Amino acid sequence: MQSSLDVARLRSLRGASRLEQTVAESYELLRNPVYRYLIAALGNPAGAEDLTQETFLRLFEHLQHGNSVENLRAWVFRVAHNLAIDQQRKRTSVELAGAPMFAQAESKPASGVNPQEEQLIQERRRRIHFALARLSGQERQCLELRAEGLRYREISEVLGIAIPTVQTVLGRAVKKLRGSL
Amino acid sequence: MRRAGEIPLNWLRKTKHASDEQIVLYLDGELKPRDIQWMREHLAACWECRTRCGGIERAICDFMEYRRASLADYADGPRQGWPGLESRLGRLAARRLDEAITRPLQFPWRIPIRVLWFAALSLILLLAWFHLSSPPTVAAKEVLERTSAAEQESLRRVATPVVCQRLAVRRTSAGRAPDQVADLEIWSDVEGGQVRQTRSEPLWRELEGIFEANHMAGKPPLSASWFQSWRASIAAKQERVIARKLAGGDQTLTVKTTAEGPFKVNQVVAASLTVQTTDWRPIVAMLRVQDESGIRGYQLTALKSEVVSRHALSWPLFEHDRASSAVRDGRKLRLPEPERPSAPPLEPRSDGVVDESSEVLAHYALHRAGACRGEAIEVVRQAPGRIVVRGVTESLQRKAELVAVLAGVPSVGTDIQAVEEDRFRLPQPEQDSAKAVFRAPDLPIREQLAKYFEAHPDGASLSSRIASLADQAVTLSGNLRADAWALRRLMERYSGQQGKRLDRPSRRLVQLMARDHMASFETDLARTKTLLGPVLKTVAGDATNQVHGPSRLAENRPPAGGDADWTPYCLDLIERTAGIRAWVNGLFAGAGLAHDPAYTAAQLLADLSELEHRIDAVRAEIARAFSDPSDVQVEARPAASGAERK
Repeated sequence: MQSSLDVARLRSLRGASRLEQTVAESYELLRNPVYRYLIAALGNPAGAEDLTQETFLRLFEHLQHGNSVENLRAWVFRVAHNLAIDQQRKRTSVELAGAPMFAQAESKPASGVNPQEEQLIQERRRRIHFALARLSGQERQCLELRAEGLRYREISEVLGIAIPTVQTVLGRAVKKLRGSL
Repeated sequence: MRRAGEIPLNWLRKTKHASDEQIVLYLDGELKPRDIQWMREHLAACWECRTRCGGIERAICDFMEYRRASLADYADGPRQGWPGLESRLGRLAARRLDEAITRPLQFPWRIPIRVLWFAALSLILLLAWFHLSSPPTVAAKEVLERTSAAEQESLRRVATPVVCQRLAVRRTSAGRAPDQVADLEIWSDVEGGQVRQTRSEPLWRELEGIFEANHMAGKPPLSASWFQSWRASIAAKQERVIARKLAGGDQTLTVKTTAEGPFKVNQVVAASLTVQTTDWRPIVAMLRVQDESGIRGYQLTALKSEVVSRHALSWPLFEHDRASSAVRDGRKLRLPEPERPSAPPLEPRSDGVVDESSEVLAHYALHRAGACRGEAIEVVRQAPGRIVVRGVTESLQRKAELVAVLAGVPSVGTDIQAVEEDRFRLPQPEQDSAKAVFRAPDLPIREQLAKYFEAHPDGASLSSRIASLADQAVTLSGNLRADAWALRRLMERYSGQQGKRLDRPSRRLVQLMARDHMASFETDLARTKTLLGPVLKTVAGDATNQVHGPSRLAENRPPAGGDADWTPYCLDLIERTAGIRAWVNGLFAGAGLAHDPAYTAAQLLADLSELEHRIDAVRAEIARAFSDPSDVQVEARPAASGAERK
């Protein structure tokens, strides 16, 4: 009995190590984009860090059950996006996602520029800040995902919307940003 | 060359401004390939769109710069990094491993708890149904005891029981030899321990040898006692009982018994007996018998099984019945060793004369072989100088006997077939005569007989004395009728002018045959009257006075004088013996009575007496019919012994 259990343990551990290696590679590739997206979505770096780990744990479990992933980046961002939505639903009060962070960026000085340029940069940041505040959640999510390099098809998979919708939403978001400058 | 006022559509399309969405798609590389070139050319040509494109690029740059600045503190990614995640992955893997160890039978798929409960409940119900529907486990001994008890119960209902079975027998060999199949009719005298088969089947002779070698002889095949005899004779055995359900829903139990070797030839290696649990009646038996070259199998399937009284049988079947002969449905099954008056030896004629003389010789040969008393054999003139003896015998052995006795008769051919060779020309006995044979065993005069035998004790049991009396009465009445019919056939052939045309030796042979039958008739009549007279007087009582007037025989008495004609005498004998047989069967075989038993007994007694009085006249008339002044006077003689015949 003991020997059979040992064999089962060894087999399980071997399977787990292979999965861990796969997950580790995926983590190295996608941890920063996911982390940044979650910070932008939640406005809470600590929560974003937990959800980032939770995202890759989900990936581990998903692969451990013998499932496959066709588009790793889209799958990981979709899990992260869903986790963020679940996190936001748990909040008692609705906050403006990313507002503290954007406020912090607005006041952060730009390095290596003269005061006049520094003033211009701060002005543009302020305008962008207010422009972002006027965007809808979906427009901001599309902008964030696109900023992380996702293609329109991947954005549609993450948000669960059609590709033409992504085109429209992104076009509208950029137009709003340009209008605020 | 364009005409005046005409605007090229291609130019219009090129001059149309691009939307912000199209510019964003172009900048993101998501524009369709066919539009990319147009966008490039348009941006190159259109300052306005190029300006808007630059504005969009600047907005994107400002957004990215704003975002970079916002996330500058988190550019290194999560602080815990991979080590934190790795520890969580390790805990997850360990938890999964623990689950695998503690729940080794966990299904890889998720099954709702309701489905599991439903499956478990269904399984319990299924097991309960199997348990209730399957018969309880029984031992081979118990099955055989129950079957034997059922058999004994059926035998107890009938005095002197005889088991009549129709069995389909199939023999299989280990080699490539084809299966042999036979349909057997087997009669088993339970008390006498005798088993008879009414047809001559090689397969039956094989089975008889096997039964003898395995202590199974003398018992009805396919019975519990038969199987038990073999089972008790083997020292070591393995047994099991198998329960099955037939197509009709009847439950069966099969006792399979396997003996342990070594085995001799004809020894049963294994046997099985299948009984129906509804009435504990055996239906199939299988025997595996040691052969010289291997194992051969026999399958005995019961087609019919019935218990009848031996004295209800209207023909002698067993050894103790052979003292007398009987006929059944006009066909004789077995003849006893004939007690015949002496007769001249059969010699073939050398003068070449055929027709009447050869025909008489053929009749006489059949007469000596005992085939004239009811067997389905006839002598036919087919063409001048050609006489054929044709008919059907009960067995191939009987056929061989008749062919042998006819071999010395000149100009006589044979066309005789055994029953097994001629099934399509004769009705099957079991189909036609079953109702006549299986009569009710209860006798209408059982009480009177019981009183009579109680008044005349002789040491034997009451039931055996009644059965013996009934048995003898039925047999003797059958004998009387057989002889009467034999006389009638002779009369039809050789009475009157036909008899006078015969030459002297032929007439003498015909006279001898008639005399033989008269002597036999007289002997059987005397025995019948001696046997039944006292009993019938007791049964008849006062009814004897109700039988008055001349009998039919007296009424039909032919006028005296004139030419001798024994035809009316033979016809009267036929009619009288038919009545006697019917009354005997009614009184002693339970075949039904038209009148009350007392009147029937009185009538039977009167007819026997009247017949006895008429015998001398019949004999004298026959002698007168064949008398010839130049002929040697032949006196009627009583039945002679076998030594006298020699």
